[in-house]
Parts: sequence; C-alpha cells; structure tokens
Amino acid sequence: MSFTIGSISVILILFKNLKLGLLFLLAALIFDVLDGAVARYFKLETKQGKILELIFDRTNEASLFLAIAYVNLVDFKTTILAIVAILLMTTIKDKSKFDPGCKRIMLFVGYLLHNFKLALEITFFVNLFSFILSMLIIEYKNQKKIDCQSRTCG
Amino acid sequence: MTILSHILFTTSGVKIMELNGKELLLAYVFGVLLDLDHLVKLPLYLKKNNFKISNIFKQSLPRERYYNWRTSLQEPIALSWIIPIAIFLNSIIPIIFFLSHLFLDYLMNYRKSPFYPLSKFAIRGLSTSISNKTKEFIIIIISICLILLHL
Repeated sequence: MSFTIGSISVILILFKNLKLGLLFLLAALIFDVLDGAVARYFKLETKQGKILELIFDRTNEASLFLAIAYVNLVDFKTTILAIVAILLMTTIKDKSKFDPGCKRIMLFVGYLLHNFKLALEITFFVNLFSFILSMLIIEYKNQKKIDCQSRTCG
Repeated sequence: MTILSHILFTTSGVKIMELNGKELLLAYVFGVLLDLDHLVKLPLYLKKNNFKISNIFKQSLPRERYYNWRTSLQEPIALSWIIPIAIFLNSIIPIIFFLSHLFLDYLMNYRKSPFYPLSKFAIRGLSTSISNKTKEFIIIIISICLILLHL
C-alpha cells in the first residue's frame, strides 16, 4: 500500500506536480508507519516481510530522488551520492541497530527550504556518517566480546 | 605502522604532488588522521588491562603487545565511503592518501580483515618474512629522502 502510494508520488513529481507529489509521499510515509505497527500488533512480522519492506522503501526513495533530479530541482551527482549513502547505511544497519531515518522525509525539508540540493547533501552526509559510525559500533561490540572471552567474564 | 611513518610518508606525497590549501588538509586527514580510530578501542583496552583513569598518575600505562587496535576505518572496505566523499569534493586526494595509508599498514605482518564487518576474511601483511621493524625503517628512510629531494 505504502509502495503504491509512494509510486504515485513519483509519477506526480515526474509530471512536475510537486505539491501533490509530496502530499502523496506524506500519505505513503503514514501508511509505512501503520503497516509496521499493524504487523507488530498482530504479530504478523516475518523475515521475508522485513526484506520486502526494505526493498520497497529503498526503491521508492531512489525513484523519488531521481524524479526530483529529473525535473531539475537537484543535480544527478548529489542525487546518486545520497542514494549510495543510504544503501551503504542499509547494508549494516541490522548489525549495528542504528538508523538515523534521514531519507524520504528530507524531501519535505528541501521543499520548505526551497533547496533540494541542500536537503540531499544533508541526506548524503547523515547517512554516510551513520555508516561510518555503524562500522565502529560493530567493531567495538566485537572487540568487547573478544576481550571478554580472553578474560572469561560473564 | 607507527604514526611517525604515516606522517613522513604523507609529507613526502604532499611534497611530490605540491599540494596546498584544502588538498593539503585532505592529504593529512586521509593519510594520517585516520589512525585516530584507535581511540574507539582505548576504553576496551584499558578495561581489559584493569587500568583506571583515576590512577593515571599512580599506575603505569598497560603495554599489551599485539592488541588489535585496527578498525574497519583503515581497511579497504573504507573505500566504500571514501570514494563518495572524494566524488562529492571533486578531489582524488582522499583516495590517493588513503591508499598510501593502506599500503603502509598492509606492509606490516599483523592480522587484517579487509572487508570486516561484511566478511570475516583475514590476511597477514605483504612479505611476512621481513620483520616489521625493518620495513618501517626502510619506509622512514625512503620518505625522508623523498622529502629532502623535494624541498
């Protein structure tokens, strides 16, 4: 449901109807939260569902960012860098349990500031920094485990 | 390798490439300052060796050999975030000086995990038959010669 509404949002942006596109994006984000909440409440969460949600979310984000670039609101270089940073962060977020959540929501920031380039640059840096931080978190946890084993602590 | 070798090797690179301004800063950040990632493991190291900060003037600092100070910030996997930064900055300097840092570290004989945390694959350094001290000495001499040649 969230993905379908998100896709409509992409199409609307491609047809230069930015306001309506962002309204649909807002609806998609609300449905995204509701989807997860309902699944958790009724204990319908599955591993496959999580993977599918991840794929849909990343696809929707990438297409939204590319649509914004297509209508010349931001350059393609910044767009691709933001997408790459989000994908990098996604590869290890399960291991580090750390996700800043700075993705599609940044399009609203871009709209409010009339500066999508700045919004995507922030997305790029926040996600890239989160990726680096996640790597260090994993490294720290692993070293702690190794040190603990060598001292045979509980 | 020790911080001294990294500083000298980076400085020789800076001299050869005649860098200044922003690029000079980037060279030292990616060639030397990356080593600051060791600080992440400092609390664990002190805890493992039962060292308390409150005893800093009473107790001598622990000297455990072969403690794994390395993090993935100075492994080849770090290129996954250094390349996007280099593209963003429109500069190849971060990649060149990170690779030079990597080259020095991979000369050493200790254990490294190039793709951690995505893979636990581990290797030793290049030419493991030569001791770390000899390698470091050669690098320092070469770096000093290069710096003097480009003064």
